[in-house]
Amino acid sequence: MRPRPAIALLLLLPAWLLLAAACGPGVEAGGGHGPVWERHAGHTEAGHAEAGHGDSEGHGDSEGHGDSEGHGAVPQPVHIPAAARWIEGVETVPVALDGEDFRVAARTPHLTQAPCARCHDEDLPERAAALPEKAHWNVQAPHGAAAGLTCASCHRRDDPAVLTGPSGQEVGLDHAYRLCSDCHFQQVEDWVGGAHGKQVGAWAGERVVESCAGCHDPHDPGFPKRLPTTFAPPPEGDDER
Amino acid sequence: MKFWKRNRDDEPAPVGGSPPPGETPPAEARPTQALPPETSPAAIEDSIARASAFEREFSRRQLFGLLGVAGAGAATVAAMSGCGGKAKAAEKAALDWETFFQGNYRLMTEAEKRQTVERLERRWQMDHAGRIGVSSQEAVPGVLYGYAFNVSKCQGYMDCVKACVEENNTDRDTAMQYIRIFEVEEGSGLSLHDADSHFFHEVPAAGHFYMGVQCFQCDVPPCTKVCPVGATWREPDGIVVVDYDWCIGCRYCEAACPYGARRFNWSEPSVPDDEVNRNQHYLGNRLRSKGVVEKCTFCIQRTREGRLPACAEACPTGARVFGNLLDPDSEIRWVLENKKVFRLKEELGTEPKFWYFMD
Repeated sequence: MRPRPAIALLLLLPAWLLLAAACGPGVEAGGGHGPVWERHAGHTEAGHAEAGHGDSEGHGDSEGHGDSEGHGAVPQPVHIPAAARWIEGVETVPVALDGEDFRVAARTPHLTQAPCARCHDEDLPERAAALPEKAHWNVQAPHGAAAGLTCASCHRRDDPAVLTGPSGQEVGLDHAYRLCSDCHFQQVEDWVGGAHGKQVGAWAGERVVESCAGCHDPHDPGFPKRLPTTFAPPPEGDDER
Repeated sequence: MKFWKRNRDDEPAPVGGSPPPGETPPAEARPTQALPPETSPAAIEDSIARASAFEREFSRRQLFGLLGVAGAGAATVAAMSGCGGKAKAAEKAALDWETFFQGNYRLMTEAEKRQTVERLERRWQMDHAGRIGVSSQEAVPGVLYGYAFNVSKCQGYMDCVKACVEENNTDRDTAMQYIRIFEVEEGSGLSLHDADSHFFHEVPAAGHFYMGVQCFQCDVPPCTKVCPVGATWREPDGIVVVDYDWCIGCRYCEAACPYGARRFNWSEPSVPDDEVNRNQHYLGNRLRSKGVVEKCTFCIQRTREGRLPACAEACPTGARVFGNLLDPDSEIRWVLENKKVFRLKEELGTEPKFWYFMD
């Protein structure tokens, strides 16, 4: 059959008009005051989105919105069943710090030279002759070197897998954030809150964050200079796009 | 009387094109409840009332669906009289026909949405190896997405840009990218006019900081208001989306956006088959076509499943914080309540849900 564009357009016209009527109010959102989320508490379901906007303009008090809706006054934790999928297979340990409970990605599964007993067993003296002379020769630690930090500033001499710091506390490798906080307390405070560091996989569900050493090399914690990873450089002069 | 108001049972669907609009149908084809002559005021009122009930009585979609069935039938007959391998071509034609006349996603019923995404999946499968999954997952109640960007952490590595391109199936030929990372000279203020978004040298460059810009999912989006066809809107979870099949490509929204966040497909977007992200959402990263506008959707296909957006997951420095603004225990809320934050062009009242902060 041959399409008849003129007729098709004629037919589309009333549908457009109807659409404008149906979709119009949905995009009218009043300015209002206070943080965005306060204006939306209780107005998040479809249909309420339209009604909730705009009415805070007059009285300037946006708190308490949503109470009249009968829901949303006390925010309920959102449950998204799929969220657990994105942290599957990530080994974690619990953290209880500054009154916050969350989980941190474990460090030990990613280490090649821990625990020490992996190499330092009873037979080591026998195998020693066949091994390279300096097993830990590649460890460079510019971290705090200028301030006089040495291996023993963070590792216990007789058991390097136990971390110990200026405060004298002794922690395992999975809980290194406690050691880090001896000096970098501001960063760890931000990390506990969420402004420093990274969430792992999911924003929903149980909060799992990267450990300090998940992003920073503990022996050289700064980020290196390198070329940007552009997929393909965007075309020049397209800043309006 | 308009011909689409005729009772379908009274008359077979027109095949081979629609009848001329002016043509009066034979009296016996009229519905039993015949309308009064069109000239009387009562008739005009009545026709207005009927126009408002247009969608319910006999929607455009149903009509063209009917025409489509007729068209597909004709195509199938033609295919069968030829060689048998053309049945696939007929199915393609039928799917394309239905897609061409499909309704606005926002007005679709659950069932229609499901049919639409299934059609997309089937259509992909006919031309490519393997399958795609297109989701029509609705907004999760109690969620309002928000984003925070740590200006003092970003090193300009652009891992986020790469992850975004790969995730969102954006056009490789024109290197379409939703994210711009601006290299700003320290002490020059926050003016992005003189900032460079096309740098390619070792980063971080001394004396510079980096600022990522993308769609801010404004709570009062100026872009949606100007759309003449209702093809873009704010979802209940705060994400501003585009129905790529309804977009007519007028680019008003692109002009209305104060942040330059929207992108236009000047040519048919190309993504190599083996690079296509097959986990898709109708309102998100499904494959677009030439002549439509697209934009960052906070990775709607990921975030509605509880997952982090691709940019936030890829960032090696932790400069990107994402979460639910309605959850007082979320990271994003902690940042907003404990850090000094600012937004771009706040004076415009667009209420971006994307904040910048510093350590």
